[in-house]
Amino acid sequence: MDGQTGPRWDLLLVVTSDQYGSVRFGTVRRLIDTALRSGHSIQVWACGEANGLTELGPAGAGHSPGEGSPAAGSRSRGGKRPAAEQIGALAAGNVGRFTWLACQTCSGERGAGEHVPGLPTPSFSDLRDYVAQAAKTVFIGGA
Amino acid sequence: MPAHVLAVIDHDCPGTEDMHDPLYFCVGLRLQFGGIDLVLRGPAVSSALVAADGPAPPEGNGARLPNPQRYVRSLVRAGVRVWVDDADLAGLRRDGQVLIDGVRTADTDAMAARWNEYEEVWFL
Amino acid sequence: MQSVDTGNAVPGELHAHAQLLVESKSPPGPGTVSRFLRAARHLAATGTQTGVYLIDDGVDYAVSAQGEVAWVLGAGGRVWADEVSLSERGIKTGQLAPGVVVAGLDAIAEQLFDPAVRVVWH
Repeated sequence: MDGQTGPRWDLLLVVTSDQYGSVRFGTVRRLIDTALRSGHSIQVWACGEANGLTELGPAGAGHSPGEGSPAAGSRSRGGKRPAAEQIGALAAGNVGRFTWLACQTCSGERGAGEHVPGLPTPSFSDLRDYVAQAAKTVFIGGA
Repeated sequence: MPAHVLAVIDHDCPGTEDMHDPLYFCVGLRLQFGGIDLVLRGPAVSSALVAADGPAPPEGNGARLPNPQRYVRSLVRAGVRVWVDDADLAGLRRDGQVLIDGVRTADTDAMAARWNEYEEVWFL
Repeated sequence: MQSVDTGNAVPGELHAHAQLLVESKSPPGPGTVSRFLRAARHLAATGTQTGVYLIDDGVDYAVSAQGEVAWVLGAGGRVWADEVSLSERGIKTGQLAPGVVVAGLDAIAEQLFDPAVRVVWH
């Protein structure tokens, strides 16, 4: 897309599973941490419930995150920061090595509000370009 | 010619018009990736079953009820190879039901031996 | 009735030299075999380097579906169980099926990020 040759990112992680977009966000976070610790770069494409993780303010209509999930907007029982804060901080601190992509198409369907500033919000029709920019894609789907 | 993406769906497909529905998502993938193949397993097999004696629901009908079969038909018409798992089909097919024309059957676990033909294998 | 497809496509370019199958779901109920682990067994039996990584609810396989784990190992595959997922569920190493190796994500990072290893997540 920008004239560079070869993949720009080591891994694109596509998350469409509602579980991994809510109560299992911890596993997604661990994957991101593993990438960064091992010197790799990673982008996470967020559809479905995962799309709500970076939404600021109240969750979109009809897609309230599960009780106690990191996306609930309040601290979980373990005192962890909400997902939006975590993701925003990771992206700001790892420019060029991590970013979170909030699918604009899913945001539109959910009636979502604004996402964490600075995070790209590509359309679903851009997915293939992002796959092409990554050396490898892992897809976490399912219910 | 092998497709770029092998999509596998093994859970319910409500047939709604949104990204949550894996078949709707699959239609979107085909538009972007061109070459995709689709495997339906478990409850998803029902999306490829229709009544043998009933007409196909009219397309373009103003009443857009959830209808996963329309997505499967659309994918088959677009040249997507669609397989249903033969064991799951035997368990789910009711009397009077047939597969949508063009849908194939296979031992979809044994098909894993062909995963290397695809650039991507995604469980949607 | 549709004819059974025997899968006689002409093999094309190899897109991955090895496969890592990540199972995150619990085993199906009694009397039902895991489709995903069956796929792993088929892959391993073709001579493809195949690993199964059990994570989240998938670690239950290492405890309650030991026969299916044994299939994969018997076909030449490897099976790992995520140590964090085991710990969260109070599962001890001694409860695991023989041959299952406890490994955190860092231990399989090389496979996760190697473009020659396809990762299929279920």
